[in-house]
Amino acid sequence: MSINATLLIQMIAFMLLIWLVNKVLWAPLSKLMEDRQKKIADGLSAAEKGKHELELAEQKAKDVLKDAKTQAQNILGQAEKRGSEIVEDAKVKATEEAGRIKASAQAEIEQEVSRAREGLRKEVSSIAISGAEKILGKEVDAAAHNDMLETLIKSI
Amino acid sequence: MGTVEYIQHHLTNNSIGEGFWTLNIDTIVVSLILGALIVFVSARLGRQLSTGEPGGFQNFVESILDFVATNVRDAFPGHNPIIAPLALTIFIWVWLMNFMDMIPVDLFPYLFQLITGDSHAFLKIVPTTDLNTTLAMALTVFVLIIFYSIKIKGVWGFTKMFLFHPFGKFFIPVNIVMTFIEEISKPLSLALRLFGNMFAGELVFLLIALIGGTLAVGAAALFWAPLQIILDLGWLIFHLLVITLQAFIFMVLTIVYLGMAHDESH
Amino acid sequence: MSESNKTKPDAERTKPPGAAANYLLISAGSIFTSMLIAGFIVGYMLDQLFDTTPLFFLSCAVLGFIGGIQKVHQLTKRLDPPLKEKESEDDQKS
Repeated sequence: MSINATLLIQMIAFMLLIWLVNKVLWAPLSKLMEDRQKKIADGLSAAEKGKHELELAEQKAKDVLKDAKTQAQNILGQAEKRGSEIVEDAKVKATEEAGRIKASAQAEIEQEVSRAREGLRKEVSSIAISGAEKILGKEVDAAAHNDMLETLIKSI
Repeated sequence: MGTVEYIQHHLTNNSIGEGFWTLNIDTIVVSLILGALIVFVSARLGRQLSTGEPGGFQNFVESILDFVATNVRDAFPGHNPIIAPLALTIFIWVWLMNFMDMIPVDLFPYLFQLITGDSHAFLKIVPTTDLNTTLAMALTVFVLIIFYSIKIKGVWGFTKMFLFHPFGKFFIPVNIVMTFIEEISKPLSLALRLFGNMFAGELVFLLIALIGGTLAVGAAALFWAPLQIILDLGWLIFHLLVITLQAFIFMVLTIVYLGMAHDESH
Repeated sequence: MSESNKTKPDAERTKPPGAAANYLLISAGSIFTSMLIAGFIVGYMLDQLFDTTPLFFLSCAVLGFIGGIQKVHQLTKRLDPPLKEKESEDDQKS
């Protein structure tokens, strides 16, 4: 049980074993584990990045959608405005047309009325003349009573 | 064979040589075989390493590595690439050498005696019950402690530690002796703790083996043998804890002592 | 763990670094013993050097004994933290 030369041999063996373990076990395996850790970290960061990108894209899509919506709203508003304008226009035009048609109809009626009146006058004068002839029993000199006739016609 | 002879026989190394130049053949051979086992297994493992999904054994080794690395990170303030492999070597090697304690105490000596044909051939297969092994590791650690103390603190800082350390500057001669004592006590406590625990464990195994062995004669064996089995099993389970703890403590204290050597303020 | 790390630098010097130094506590007994034995060894070597056989052997043993007590005391001191720290911990809890 005493201390002897075994000590020296064990020391040498121990140092050799440390060296070998470092070379064979520690160095490759710790490098491997580090690599794996790095890989995992990379994967995680990539996933994070992807998530971030997805978020960005979603945001973008939302923005675009919102834009489109407002644009559509605008267009719709404009169309409505334009439609009401057109309707207004048409109304105005129709009113004008109606007025014109009414006016021409009035004029025609007036014309008709005056023509009828003219015809009536002539008729009346001839009737009056023939009546007077019958009353008087003789021919009325049309020329002589022209003035009278004229005023008669006019008074009708 | 008497009880005392039985125990003494089991605790004597198979050695050659005289005086200091004695070589404990069994200690050397067993520890070298275990060291070779570590290297062989890790070399085989090294050939089939993969960064992807690790297999069962690789997982196991990686968890040990992770455990050691965590301890190094916790206890070691600086950065030194030799600490982690050193700690790993200590942990695995000491554990394996301690594990030789788990083999039934009479098995290998008996086989050895059969092979050599000498019924009195000595064999002690637990290298850590030989003070030489534990002291060798502790001294290697001691050399590293001294080396890194000088390297980190400088020659002057190292001398200053010797001159002024425990009692201030008025007791310089006492301080020198005291620091010597302190430094020597570090590897000594490392070596003695491991040796003492393993030696005591082995002794208990031997005593338990005596129950069913030499004590039991004839019909009495019917009573003693089951008792021996129960006691042996109990102590085996407990000792399995002890050997792991001892290997772990040897490793952690090595790290702590080397960390102290790296700590400039200490 | 992080709490014990950020103590004052003065207290840090007496402590071995890190939480793993707590494992030194397991072996407080063996540290004491080995201090004593180391004292014997150093004394024996000095006696061999100066040829003063029992003198250094005994005095260094005494030194080792004292040093061992000091070391163990230093280690066990870590067990009960100073009052201030305890109070601040309580403050943090409440």
